Amino acid sequence: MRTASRGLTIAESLVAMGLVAVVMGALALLFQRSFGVLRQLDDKERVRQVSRMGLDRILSEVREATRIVSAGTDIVQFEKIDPSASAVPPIPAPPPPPAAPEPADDYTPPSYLPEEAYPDSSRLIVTYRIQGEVLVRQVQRKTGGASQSQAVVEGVNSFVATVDDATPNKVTVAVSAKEKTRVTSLKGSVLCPCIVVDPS
Amino acid sequence: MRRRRGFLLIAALLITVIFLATGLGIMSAQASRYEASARLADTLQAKNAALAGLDDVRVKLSKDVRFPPRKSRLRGQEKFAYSETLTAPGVVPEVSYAVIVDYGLEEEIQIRTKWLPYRWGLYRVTVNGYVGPRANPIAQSMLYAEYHIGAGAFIRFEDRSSL
Repeated sequence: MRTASRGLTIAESLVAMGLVAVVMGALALLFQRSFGVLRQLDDKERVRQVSRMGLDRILSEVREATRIVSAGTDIVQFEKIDPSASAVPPIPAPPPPPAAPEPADDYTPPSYLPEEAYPDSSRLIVTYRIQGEVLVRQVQRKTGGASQSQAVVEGVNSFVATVDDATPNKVTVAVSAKEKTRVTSLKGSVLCPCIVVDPS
Repeated sequence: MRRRRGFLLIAALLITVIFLATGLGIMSAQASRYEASARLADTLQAKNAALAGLDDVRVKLSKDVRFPPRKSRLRGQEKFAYSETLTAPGVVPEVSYAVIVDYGLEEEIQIRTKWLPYRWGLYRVTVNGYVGPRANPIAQSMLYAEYHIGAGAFIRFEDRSSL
């Protein structure tokens, strides 16, 4: 009978090591495959995220538009109110004369059109375009002057913006981003509350 | 000769711990992804609640000649606020919106033979969308708009919350 202090023979050790190697090899293969799948999913998700970021960025700002200047492939240009601008207050009604406390039916109130509330100096022209594979946002005052550009999202290949003929306040944008061989495209629409649709 | 009893047990335990740590690492990475997705869904729901509130106030302003109520204005106030819960009672999380209409830029004049005064100017509207209790929401979204009384439409809109 073998005692515990005798140790293992070379043959026993080799068999044990061989078994461990086979098991570890099988596990490594399994992990390699699952990590490969995870990496593929990560790449796919990253491309999808790029498209989603580009789409969200364009749509959330287009929603603020007061007028769509142009929309097409790789460009959308619109007008919006400068977020730092304040409305020009309306002219108050004149105080009523003591003899006639209420004006007559033909009273003409002071003019207060939307363009008077926000003149051109309070309006911005915003443009989204693709330069290389970068989505770029460009802002310029409606009255002119220097424009400011900033890169918004990298990795966007192209986008298409369309305005619905029947509902001109509905803007649809489709953004595409390319993963090695496959193109991921996301599409979304917004209704711009400040663009008035003629009911006729 | 040195005794090496129990060596296999320790080795097996070591391998088990390594596999366990790897598994937990992968699972925790997935958990943070799920959490981020849930947060995004809540934020989008809050934004949609705010958009619903904005549409509600637009319809009220364009159709209801008595909106916003003027009684508070007679008391020197320039704002009117209301809120609405969109989910059924007891549904968790609660989804709601709160609207504030500021009529500080509204002007009016009473015409002799007219039932209603002639009004012009702007209403400044702030809408907050909430997911969860309004005092301590899980997600919140704020929209700002200006309604032109003469045009009967919004002339300015801003999303004042980040996605």
